[in-house]
Amino acid sequence: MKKIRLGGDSLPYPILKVFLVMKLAFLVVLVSCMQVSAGVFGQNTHLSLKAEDMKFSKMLKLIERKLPYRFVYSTDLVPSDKKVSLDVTDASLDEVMAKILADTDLEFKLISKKLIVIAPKASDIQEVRVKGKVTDSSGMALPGVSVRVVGTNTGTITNGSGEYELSAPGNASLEFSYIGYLSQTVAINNRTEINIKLADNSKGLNEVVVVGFGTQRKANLSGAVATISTKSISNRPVASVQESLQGVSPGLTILNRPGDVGSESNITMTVRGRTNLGSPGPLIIIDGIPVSNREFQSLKPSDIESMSVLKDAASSAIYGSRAANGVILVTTKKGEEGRTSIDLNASYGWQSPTRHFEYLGSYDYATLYNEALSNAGKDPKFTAEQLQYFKDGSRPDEYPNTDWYKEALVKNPALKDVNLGVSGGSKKSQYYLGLGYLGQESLVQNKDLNRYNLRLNASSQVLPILNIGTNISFIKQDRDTKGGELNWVALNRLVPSMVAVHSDGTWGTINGGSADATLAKDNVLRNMAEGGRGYSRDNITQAGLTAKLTPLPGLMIYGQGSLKYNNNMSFAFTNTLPPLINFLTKEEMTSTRVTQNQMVERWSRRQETLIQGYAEYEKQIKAHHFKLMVGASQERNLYRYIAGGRLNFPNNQAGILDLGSSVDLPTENDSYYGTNVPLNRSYEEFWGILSYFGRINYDYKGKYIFEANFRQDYSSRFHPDYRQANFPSLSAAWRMSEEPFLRNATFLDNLKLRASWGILGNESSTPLGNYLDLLKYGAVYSFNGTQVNGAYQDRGVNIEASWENVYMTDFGVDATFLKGKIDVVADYYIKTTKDILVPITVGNTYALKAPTVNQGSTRNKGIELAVTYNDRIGKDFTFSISGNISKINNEILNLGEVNERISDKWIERVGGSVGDFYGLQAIGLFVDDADVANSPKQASATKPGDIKYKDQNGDKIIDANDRVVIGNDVPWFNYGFSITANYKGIDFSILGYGVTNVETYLDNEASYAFFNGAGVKPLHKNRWTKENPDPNADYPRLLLSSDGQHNYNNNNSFWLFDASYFRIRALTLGYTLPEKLTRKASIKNARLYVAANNPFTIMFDDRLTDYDPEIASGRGGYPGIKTWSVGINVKF
Amino acid sequence: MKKQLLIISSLLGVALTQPACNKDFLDRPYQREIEDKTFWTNANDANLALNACYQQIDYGEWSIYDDGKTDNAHAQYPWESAATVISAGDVTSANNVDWSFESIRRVNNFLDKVQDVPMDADLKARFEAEARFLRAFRYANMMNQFGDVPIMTFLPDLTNWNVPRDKRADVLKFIIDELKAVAAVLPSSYGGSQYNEVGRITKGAAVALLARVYLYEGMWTEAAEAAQQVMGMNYDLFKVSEESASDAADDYSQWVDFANADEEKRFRLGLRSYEQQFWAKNNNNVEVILDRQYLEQKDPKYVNTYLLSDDLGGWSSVTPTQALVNDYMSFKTGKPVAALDPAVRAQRYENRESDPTFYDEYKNRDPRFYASILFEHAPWNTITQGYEFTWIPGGNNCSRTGYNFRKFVDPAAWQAGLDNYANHPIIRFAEVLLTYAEAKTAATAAGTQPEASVYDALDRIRVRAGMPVIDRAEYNTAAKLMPVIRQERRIELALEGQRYMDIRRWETAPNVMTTIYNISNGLAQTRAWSDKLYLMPIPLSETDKNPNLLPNNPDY
Repeated sequence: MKKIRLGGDSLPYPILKVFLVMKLAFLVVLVSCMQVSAGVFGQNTHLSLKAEDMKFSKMLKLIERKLPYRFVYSTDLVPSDKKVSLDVTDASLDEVMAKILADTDLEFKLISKKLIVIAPKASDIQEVRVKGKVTDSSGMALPGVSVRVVGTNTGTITNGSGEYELSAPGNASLEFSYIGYLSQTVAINNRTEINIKLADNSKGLNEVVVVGFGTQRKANLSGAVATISTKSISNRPVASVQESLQGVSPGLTILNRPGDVGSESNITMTVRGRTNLGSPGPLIIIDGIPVSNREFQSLKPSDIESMSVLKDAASSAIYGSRAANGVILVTTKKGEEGRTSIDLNASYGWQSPTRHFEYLGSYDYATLYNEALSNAGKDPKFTAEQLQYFKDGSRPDEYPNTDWYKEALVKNPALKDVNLGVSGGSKKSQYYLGLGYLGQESLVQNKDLNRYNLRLNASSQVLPILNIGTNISFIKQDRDTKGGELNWVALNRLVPSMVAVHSDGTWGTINGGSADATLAKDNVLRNMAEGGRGYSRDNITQAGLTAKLTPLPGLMIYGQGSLKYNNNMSFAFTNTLPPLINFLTKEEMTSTRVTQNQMVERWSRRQETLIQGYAEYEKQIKAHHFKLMVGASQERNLYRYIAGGRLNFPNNQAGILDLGSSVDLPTENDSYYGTNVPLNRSYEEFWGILSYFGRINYDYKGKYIFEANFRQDYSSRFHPDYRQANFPSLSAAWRMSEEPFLRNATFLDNLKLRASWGILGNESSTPLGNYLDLLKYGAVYSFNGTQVNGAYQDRGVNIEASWENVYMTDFGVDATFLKGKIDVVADYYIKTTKDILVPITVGNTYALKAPTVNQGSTRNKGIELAVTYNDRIGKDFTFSISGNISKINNEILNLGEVNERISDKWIERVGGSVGDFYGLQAIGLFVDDADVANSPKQASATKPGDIKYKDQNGDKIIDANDRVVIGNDVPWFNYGFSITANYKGIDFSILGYGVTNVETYLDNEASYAFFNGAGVKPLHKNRWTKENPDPNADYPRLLLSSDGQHNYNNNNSFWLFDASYFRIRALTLGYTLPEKLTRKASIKNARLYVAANNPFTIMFDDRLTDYDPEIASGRGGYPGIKTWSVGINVKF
Repeated sequence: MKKQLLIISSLLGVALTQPACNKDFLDRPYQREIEDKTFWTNANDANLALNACYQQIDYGEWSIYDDGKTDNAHAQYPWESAATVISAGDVTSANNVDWSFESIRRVNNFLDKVQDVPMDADLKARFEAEARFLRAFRYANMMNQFGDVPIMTFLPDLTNWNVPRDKRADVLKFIIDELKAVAAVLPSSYGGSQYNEVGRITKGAAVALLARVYLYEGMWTEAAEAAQQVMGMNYDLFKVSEESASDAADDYSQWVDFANADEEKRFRLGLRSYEQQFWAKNNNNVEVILDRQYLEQKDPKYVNTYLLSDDLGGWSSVTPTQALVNDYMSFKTGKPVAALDPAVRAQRYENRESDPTFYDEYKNRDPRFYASILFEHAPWNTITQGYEFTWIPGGNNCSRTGYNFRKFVDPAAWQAGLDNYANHPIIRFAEVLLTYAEAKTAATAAGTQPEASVYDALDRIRVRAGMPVIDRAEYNTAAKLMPVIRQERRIELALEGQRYMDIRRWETAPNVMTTIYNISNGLAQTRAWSDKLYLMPIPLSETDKNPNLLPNNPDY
């Protein structure tokens, strides 16, 4: 065997002959095996054989046939034409082998009971220069790998391209070690090139985590970054990605307000708790491009390659002024070199409400109504005879029992989801094509949503140093309402004594025996059937171009440009309707007509342009590893809206404005402009942001890790003099497990301590145009039948209004034990938000909306803990259990010139928490007249059975001075768990999520009996009555809402309910068909599954029988949805 | 090769980061509102700013809720207005009744900025007078409710908004001075051209408001003088001369024992004249001195919905009390009718099918009764052919008292399926006549007879309503006439918001603000009076922010 000796002063990267590479690699493995089993040697098997001039290889095969041994050797060692002769009888293996190897430099070793290795004799020992490349299992270069000569202190570390070079004795061994990978020891055997593939040690550590403007190995992270596996979010029957993120990562709180199909503003995400006094969400970035919640919602989970949540300041400061509430980075799938692979997933689901809104039937309604009237000293409404009709249902056209929710909603609307992913490519070009369809029917009977997704990610190495990529995505979302919109307020006010449809098929007109024009007109069934029609068409088109230059080893220059259009169009037509006919008198009920039809059409377009670039340089100098990144970006966002509407079309089929009357343009209320704004209008919104950013990474042997980030932002939201803001951050980590004193702790695979500090900004609290002294303009009045416009001041201006700043300090531990069986991530952080924009406290005499000033401050101290346990029982059963908790202690530190601000039910008070409820403390219900007389004075209407309030200041009068903090509505404590298990082809997973120690204030329809004419709920049955004057009853004495204001109007703790809940968020059971079956159909993998979203919910307050914990107010609206689905997943 | 690559890549890198160096791209004109610095350049801008002051003109349809705070009406839904809690006597500083300076600031901003606007001096002076009127009017209403209020004649900034309250007497003087000043500038009418649209504040409005202010203060001589000044302007009571076919279909012969056709005609035209002045088709009629102008569809009012009952698609938000019904005088004699015992009425209501005496109470009443009140079997063909009102006790969106209002409802809008867009009176000529009569009478010694002009003024109102004139022989002293004037005022101005101050300044509120019952003598609303209710509380939320406003009004 030829020995190659390298010159010490030759080129750093000399060109080598490659003929040995492949085979040597094979040998390396063998030799390393020998090393392990060197001590085990011995044989007693004997052989008789005679052969002449037999090929060496054939000879060994012959021996293999006769003896229970297998030979391994490198054909390089033995010339292929070498022939040997043998003639032995009952010879020992030693004798046989000695004869065969007689005239070679080879020797043999039995390394296991059956394996014999033939290898060169370790004779002449000389120093060799070894070089090579270390890669991970996927062939990616691993920089920073420690390469050590076994038994010595000499060694080196791989450079940025994963290459190393050192001198060592030819018979020595090299140990390759690197965080997160299994160490390997390889005998040099005088070789000059040894390339190594390191195998993953414990999953996770080697995961490449997407961070801001780049990637980082998890092991090298010094900030708090959570990665969300695509496994935990795919194949869930949900209509948005956000829904699938709940409970997956501690500190990421997602509140999913139930909403009708395609509604967009109902999901709020917070990272590490609300800190400012509003509640903005994290910045979401898909493939480097910031996106809105709506776009994130429309993203197909199956298109997602990876997702990172940047939680602390160190990791998110690179996003500066929009990162105050964390950053979610999403990377979509890329193609891979190799055979085209096709991934098809299809599912069909059945949706239903998590909780039904429950109203009592007409008999209970009428009975309790009478009770409520008599409690107020008024005459009962329903006679005994009428009550009997309700009870026996004998006169359904006059005394019905209508369950309006049941009538208005569909039982099990479908959720259809089909995704197709195609990927592949050559060595130079790769692509991923994702196609998706989501069809969601609404619980509202006449509505549905159809969404089509297309995503094409392609990249091509056009030059050796230049890679060009494109991200193209298109989303089309159609919502259709085949009829009038469901009016939820009307639905909640429709009482069970009102007829829905009469026996003769006409729409209901009779309520409890007499005609009721108001409710007849508000009949939601009629309006859904005949009221009109509507649709919306949303398109999001995005084209992104990336260029990656790698001109020098370690240097990468990355440029990205993207253009995105978000086009929305909506159409609504309200029909004219004829009057209903009174069922009893057969006369027209004139006021139930709709005399004018109308049409409204709205268009909007958001154009977002982004240009950004950065350069990254990575260098390994001995044990020191550096990475430097600098970049810049600019973003522009331009929104334009136009709406048009007309009245009085010739018929209800008309669909264009031209057909309407030219003079009557309806007005509408607008959250920005106020009431009675002409509908025909357009407006524009613009913002831009310009940023410079940079990062330095340094680590020593992967053991001591440092990172510094810096970002400078200029935002158009602020006055030109106050536009610049700087956001620095620092972080460090210590991989204790790499220290010699822990190296031998076999139970410990990884232990890393992290610390970070940084500043983040929040610009979203500042409205556009904030620093300008503006006059509102629009129609204000009319003179003699002619509308006139006007201009007026509306709000005070503070031109200095600027960013809110978040200062965050984070301490964290990452630990892995028992060969990756147990994984723990824990963080403690202090997140102080300063310069919160708080409206200046002004009295009404100032008479404008108060300007906001950067003067508030809050602090969140929180802990996050995530623990995972993986194990295997027997051969086939593997499982993983993980749990996470997040606890936040929030304190308001400063509110500017005042110490407290009260708004409605809430108080913000220095020393208190965001979300504190403020009101009277209820201490049960009054038992009798004496109780009322002997208690501090409340309202004049207060009677036995009303809520009793605590006289906090002891002045014998219950008034506003007796208000105290009575609860809090922010879930500061969240927990989640998941279990996954696999047994042969069966897989199972369950994901649970809960919050505790949180209250909700339910009022109006949610909890008040007969609220403004509405019905009664099961809660109201457990009321205080004269017969059973229970001071702890679930509900005070029944009163109509106009009579019970003293119980309702005071914000008080009686209406606070425990909103703690635990919810099984997701459930999946899958079965992968045996490969034997699928291979015949040339299918790589086929899996059938049943999945559920939100299947079970436990509420901790048993009074909450019909309340979904995530619903906004409980006043009755689109309910929370649970979905069961079946699906199939096929890979070709 | 390597060098070339390096050059190419450097160039590319620079090219990619280059656009980010230009900061101009952050600026773009704001396209949602007007910037103040580009405004205030000409008369049109001044006009636009003045229009915005009109937007906040006090009252309009909300006058119906002010009557809900009195013995005229019951406002049954506490979430619609503070009237429910005020009438129940439960108002506390937790309620914000009407403490708002928004309109005052708008005026002050206008007055401040218009100074530098280059425009015709006379027009500017008139514009300023209109704005000052609106501010004075607002102050008059604030003073009536709160007594002491801060006089804001400057544009407050963040340092000087927390002013104390000024004494009521100073506020009053401010109002009077302002109204006198603007009356000297304002024209008595507008021609309708640009900047001269009908509906703007006139001299008549300023003087008529002055008369009202004086009257409320008991400054009888001044009130009478101001009223007399308005009576000398071109205002008159609105009248119609014939009935429409649908109106003619109403059969009142079963309600009124007409002596002859003339009497019936007098009755019917009186009824129509009174009710139709509030209809959109008679907007800007001769009786209007000051009103809140509404606009079809674009800016309507909702009284049709608030006042009507469920059967006509209404909510019965504000409904008449029995006490108001009782005060409608006799069509036959022009004199008060004795009220029926509630128990008797309840008994009769119970047996109304068999014993029609129940309906006697509604017979031979002032035509304005039929024009204002919907009672059991009240006919109303104009709303729907063959319509008769029926009370559904306890019904959804039905009255709690047994009656609904019909005054202010515009059947034309209702027929068209639209919201009511009739202008809503704030001051009309009838009020001025009543002010004149009351002030003159009050200024007359109790035992002496008021001068004939007092009777003349009252008779004008009576005649328009189709009622007999005042019996001058019977009511021949000021003491005797005064109750008639007060009753006349209550009837004529029902639901127009005047009753709120009337029962306070007459100090009759303690007697009349008592629990109200429906026609079957069932409880409608528990009411209680305490003297704190003469003034409304300064809201706690305001005194918390500005302790200079303290002390609050007595007992709050």
